[in-house]
Amino acid sequence: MNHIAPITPGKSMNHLAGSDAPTPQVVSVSLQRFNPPARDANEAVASNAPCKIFVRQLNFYYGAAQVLKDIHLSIAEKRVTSLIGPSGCGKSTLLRVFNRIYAIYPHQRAEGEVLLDGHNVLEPRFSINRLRTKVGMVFQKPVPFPMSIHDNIAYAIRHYENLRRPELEARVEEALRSAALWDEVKDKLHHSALGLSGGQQQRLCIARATALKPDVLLLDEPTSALDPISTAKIEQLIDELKARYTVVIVTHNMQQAARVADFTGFMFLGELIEFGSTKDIFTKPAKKQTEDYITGRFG
Amino acid sequence: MNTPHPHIVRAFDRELAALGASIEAMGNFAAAQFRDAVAALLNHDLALAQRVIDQDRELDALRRDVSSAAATVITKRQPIAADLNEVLADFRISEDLERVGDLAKNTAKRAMAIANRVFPEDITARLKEFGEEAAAQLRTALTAYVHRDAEQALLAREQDEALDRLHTEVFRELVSRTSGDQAQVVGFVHLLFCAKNIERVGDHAAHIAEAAHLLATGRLPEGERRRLDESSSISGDTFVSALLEPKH
Repeated sequence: MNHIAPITPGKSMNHLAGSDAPTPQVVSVSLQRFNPPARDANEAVASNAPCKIFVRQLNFYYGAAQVLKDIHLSIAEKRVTSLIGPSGCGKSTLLRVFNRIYAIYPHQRAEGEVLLDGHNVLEPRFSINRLRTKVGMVFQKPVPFPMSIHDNIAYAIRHYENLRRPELEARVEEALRSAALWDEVKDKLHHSALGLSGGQQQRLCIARATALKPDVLLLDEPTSALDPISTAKIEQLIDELKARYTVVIVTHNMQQAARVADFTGFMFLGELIEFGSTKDIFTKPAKKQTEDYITGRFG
Repeated sequence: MNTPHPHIVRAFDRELAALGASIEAMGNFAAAQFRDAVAALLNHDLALAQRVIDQDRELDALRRDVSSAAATVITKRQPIAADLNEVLADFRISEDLERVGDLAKNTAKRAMAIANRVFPEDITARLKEFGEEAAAQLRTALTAYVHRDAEQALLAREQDEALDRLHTEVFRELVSRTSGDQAQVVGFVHLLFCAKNIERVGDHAAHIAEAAHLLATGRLPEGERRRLDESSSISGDTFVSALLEPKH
């Protein structure tokens, strides 16, 4: 239902319509007869999920500086987990450990375990290529390849898979549909991706990530550079994506975390201060630090 | 009123719809509780009265859920304009409906206290009429809410004036018939409280109607509500002397 539809009086009010003829016995009605909505249906669903990524005793260093301290964390499968905290708290660093993108930089190292479906992705033996097909990433600044819209997706797929033409085309269409972009670009697939608006470019980047059929999507401040309508479209998209992907999102916008995430972790100075259901974190945080941050008293 | 476009983030619409559905369920249930309480009173139905009393906690639970859900919508979605009016209206109406439930429960308790009394037929007929007027007013207010109907909202507000007058009459009637027999006085006192409860239901219905008007038009209805209940100024001088006369 996209808007509140008026309810016809006959249906819901009929027991009140017209005064009853005087009867000696009137049967009392219970609340259930009036179909109140189910309580907290979403919460029950959120908390039943198995663990997709398990982080154990994770420490991370930029050279001599330790920027992540003893992180323990469980990311639920096919749910949205957000990481919030002030600038420099380590949330983006933590996100980048999940697909080992730090490995392209010297002097950055991780210690501890990050178990994806039970396998430690930090082990050198774990293939980075394999990891990056399972864990996709979208950055704050939309970074389409300087190619056509079609090729942005096709290039990504061809990098990992050898597909025949019809299959490839089908995958490109599927990816664009899953990012709610197909209808807008289907007639200009061979136009340059750089001609798209910022919001469209970001959705293209999401399509590119989902084209590889990953299990996990990492979103690093995906809407920070976008206008409010594009932001809303991407939030709606995230709501749809979590049916198929485990989503981890870093955001400095707390209201966004409150809107899109099932679970939220608050970080500060490299530590995970508190982690729980989004509802709990934002209504009854356990730690004063968390409460100070979310109420804007920080500092 | 034009059907608005859905919000880009559809979860927002789902949350508003759930709030609306809760209010509608609450409204229907509170109205049913009130109707049952008055019936229990007039028909000396102990079992019905007990059910009304027991079921009131469901209404309280629903009000807490609505409060919490409304607060969540405000936090998450930062509603403004018509959306904000809607959430605030839902919040206000849930408070009024919970009070209606409390008044029904109170009436049911008193019904149990005086279940074995017999009252003059014209008194019970008056109370029945009074109860039905209040129920009708509540019905109008709730319909105004569900259909976003400003005219119905104003109508419900006006019906309160008739209700106030009825309350004054019932009050006067009850007080004048009190004869000094203690058992009878206790019974009549309970009936007076029940009459007051019924009048209060009407006030809450008028308040709901104002919230419905806000929802429909974005403004509260103009002008103060006229309060025509004069029961508070009945001094009873003309029949106090009758009460004080020694019994033979």
